[in-house]
Amino acid sequence: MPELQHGLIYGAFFSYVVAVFLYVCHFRRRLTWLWRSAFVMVLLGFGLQTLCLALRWIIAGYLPITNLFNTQFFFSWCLAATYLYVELRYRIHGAGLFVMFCCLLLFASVLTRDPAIPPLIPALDTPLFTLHVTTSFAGYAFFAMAFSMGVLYLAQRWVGSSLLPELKLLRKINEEAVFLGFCLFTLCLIFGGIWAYVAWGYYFSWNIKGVWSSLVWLFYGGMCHAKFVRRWQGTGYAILSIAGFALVLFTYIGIGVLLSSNHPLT
Amino acid sequence: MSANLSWFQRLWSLLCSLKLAIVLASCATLMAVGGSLLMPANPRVFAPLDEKILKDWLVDIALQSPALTWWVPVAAVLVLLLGLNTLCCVIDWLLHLRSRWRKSGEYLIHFGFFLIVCAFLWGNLAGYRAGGQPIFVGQRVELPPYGLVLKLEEVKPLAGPGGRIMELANTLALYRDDSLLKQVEARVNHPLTWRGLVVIPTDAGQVMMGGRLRTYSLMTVNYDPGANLALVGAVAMGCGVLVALFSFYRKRSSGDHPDIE
Repeated sequence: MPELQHGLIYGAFFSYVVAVFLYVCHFRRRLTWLWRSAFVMVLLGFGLQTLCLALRWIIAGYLPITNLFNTQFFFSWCLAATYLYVELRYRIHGAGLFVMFCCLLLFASVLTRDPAIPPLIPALDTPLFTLHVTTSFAGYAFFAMAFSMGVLYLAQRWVGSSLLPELKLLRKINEEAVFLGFCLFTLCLIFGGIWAYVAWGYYFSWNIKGVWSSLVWLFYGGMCHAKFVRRWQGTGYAILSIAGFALVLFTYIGIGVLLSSNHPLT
Repeated sequence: MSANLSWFQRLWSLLCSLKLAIVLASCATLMAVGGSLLMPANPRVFAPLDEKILKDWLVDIALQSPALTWWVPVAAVLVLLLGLNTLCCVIDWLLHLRSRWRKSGEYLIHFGFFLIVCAFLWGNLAGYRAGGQPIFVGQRVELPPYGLVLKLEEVKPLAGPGGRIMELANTLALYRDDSLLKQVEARVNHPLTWRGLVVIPTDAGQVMMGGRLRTYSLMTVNYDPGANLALVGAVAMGCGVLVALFSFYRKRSSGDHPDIE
């Protein structure tokens, strides 16, 4: 079974590497077969990764999202799923490349870690934990997509390249990614709050990760309103998407690396 | 009268204003971003935030270190004002429900947020938190505020796969005037809860007393009168998210896109 898991993990990684390479080629040459092949490779990689995730779920008896290997593996799966969602809905081809690049970076760091599945400790043995973590990473993946669209919007505005999608479409996808990310992150905080209440007796914890997660929610809540204000539409919204993702990155990685927190997932 | 009305209308539009929501959310975010960075370097000041309700923390600890803690009440006031702003938005939406019913999901999220802010305020003004309370098997302990009595009836180990002890199950009983209100086997993620009261066993041990080995459990006993209101708010928010997602795809499929204000 470990050999099969390794095969699936490396197969998915190789597919994503080829997909990113083909998308980069597509940016330069604009050949239809290039983006089609790239898309097929993303689909293949996502299929293999999904199979691996399902296999590990069956072996463990719970969705394995409890240590760094597992959370990074799951986050990269969410990023690939988000990319596929946007690609299937809007056919933007290489425009979501940043998300695939993030997926690839995460995947590359996963390969250096031990894939062994740890036993589930009683504190994490609750569906609330699973729902909290899955909605959190799904939300983060959409915020990454919003960041990608924000950067492309600014690039298109300043450079005006025919290689990039129209500003109107980039703005639309950016707003959609922020909205979906906010919805998922709201569910994440709800499940996390209920779990904290049954585990520690309070639904809001003042540990720094808890505070920053609330700030991320507040920030993207503000962004969901800002899209209705003329001054913040377009360029302003793109800048906010970039700033928001900086908050997300600090909450997910920065706090664990730079500061100390008693959050169970830090 | 008409001047009064127009003054009231102006105030009402300000309170319902979308821009006010953005300003308050931005100010609260910036305030907490800066302030929270002080937290890891000052655990003596900030670690008790989870051990006490906010009112007690402000009185007992924050007042001793105002330079480090002033941002907490300021951010709390900004969030309270944001809660008030969302309530006004919800009332305004209800007044124009006929033309704005398609936004039901978004306003349910607003309403849920307002309820959670109220619940947080209530719990942090009128609740209490007591961690690490030792209770021996068979002992009865009085708990405020309902004249309740908590009794630890039994502590037994629960074995995981392979026979290794994974956790302890505490049989807890809650009485009022000698009549049993609730009895549960409390363990990790399965506390005893009753009307805002939550009892969580955190650890257990044995000690020699009077020549006999006695088992005790350390209990966290928290009382939050706003907990059920917060749950209602969370349910409203969750339902709001689902309705908002549904209406979002409906609107997008019909080519609708955010208007410019």
